[in-house]
Amino acid sequence: MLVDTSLLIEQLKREPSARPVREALAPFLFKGASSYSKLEFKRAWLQRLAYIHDVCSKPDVTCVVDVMAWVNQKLGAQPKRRGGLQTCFDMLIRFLDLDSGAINKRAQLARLRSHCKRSVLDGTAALLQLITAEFKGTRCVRAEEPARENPDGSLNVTVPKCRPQNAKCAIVAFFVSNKTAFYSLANHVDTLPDPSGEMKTMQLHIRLALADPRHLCQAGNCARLADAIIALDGKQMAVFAANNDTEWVHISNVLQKPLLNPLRHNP
Amino acid sequence: MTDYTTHMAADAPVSHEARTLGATFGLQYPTGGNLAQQFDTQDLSFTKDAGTPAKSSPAAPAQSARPRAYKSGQIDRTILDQAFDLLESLDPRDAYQTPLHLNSIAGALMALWESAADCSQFHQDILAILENAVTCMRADDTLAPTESRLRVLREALNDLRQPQLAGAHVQVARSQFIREGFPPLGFVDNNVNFADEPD
Repeated sequence: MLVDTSLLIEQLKREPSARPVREALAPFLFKGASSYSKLEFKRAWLQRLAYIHDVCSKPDVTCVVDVMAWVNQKLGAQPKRRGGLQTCFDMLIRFLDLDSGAINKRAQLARLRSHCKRSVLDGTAALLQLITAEFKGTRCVRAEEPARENPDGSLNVTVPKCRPQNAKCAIVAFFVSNKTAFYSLANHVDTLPDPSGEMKTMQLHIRLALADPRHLCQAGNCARLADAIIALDGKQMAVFAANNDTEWVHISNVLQKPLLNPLRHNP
Repeated sequence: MTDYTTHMAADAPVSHEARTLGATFGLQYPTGGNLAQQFDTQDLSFTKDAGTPAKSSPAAPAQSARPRAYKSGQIDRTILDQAFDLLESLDPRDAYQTPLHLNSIAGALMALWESAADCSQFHQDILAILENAVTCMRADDTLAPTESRLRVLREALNDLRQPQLAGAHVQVARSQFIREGFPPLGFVDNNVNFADEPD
């Protein structure tokens, strides 16, 4: 089974969030994931946790409410950070749900900072424990760069920008070797009555890459094909497992794989 | 012995208050629950308008009602001893007492944060690792206390007794707790939104 990033993350949560996923995946003895999932995990989770950790360390921030205000002020004005803002707020509110106000605000802030740091530094190791094998078709160097603590106590979860001139990964070779599948996927989007924005973006970047595969070497472009890359990296698996039906139903149809979504009726 | 069981809500879904707070920022929360009233919403001294400078909340932290029984910069040994006693008296085979003990240990660990906030970052790191593990144990039957899990909890509590800790202590604790299967996102257990455009 190929497990997508979303379901890997679900399993890293505490009960009851993790239970339906763990139970659904339990019968599968071999669980593979693409190394590209580590990059998605870093972008979608670790960077946001590290951002909150950083905000907690600001001299003007004295309590968790200050953290919320800071996050709102800095991310709220950026439409492309809307997902980050939502995730950060959900995160903070879930954190606040876990205490009853028995400790002072300073202690609460220290607690939040420490839990963010622990989650960032433990996250990738715990993610890798969930799988049997990792597929490294893209040999993505950004995915392999671990989250680490800087000497000053801050966290390093940066994803340096890639450029065609300094490409160190095998994304071009990976794309070329899976060109037919990418082509089919792009054409499949044309047949959809109401394709999602993500599918249309994916189609656009596949077509740009079909014209010139080095398009994927530009910072962020490969990330717009993330689900397709992850799926094709694990195409030898008999079953796909993912939470996001919007993309994965179509990807698995094109690749003729059954799709397991344990959260479909329990989002 | 102090009863810490009321200090933590085990697995509260997002509450009305949380949703109200989220709505301040235009966010939606699908579930209901009981967010603890642990801060005064009057402290929301920012505006919804993005880009408006936020005014910091009053700098002076609220003082705990409990009189301080520890020196600044040191962990509260009284609570630490109580947590240790609770851990020592936990019998993993006793399905009735175990959750009660875990609740009390979780409460004690939370109470430790007041003194830990003045301790080194290493103390705070180990306390966070411990607290996450106990929270996960309370919520997850498959993470029930075993001898090996109790041993790593005991070692981490012992680490907290040390007046000075090093990064190596944290590294060892971290790897031990991961090996015991404690999920790392127990404290920030929300839905991730992948929607952002990549940089």
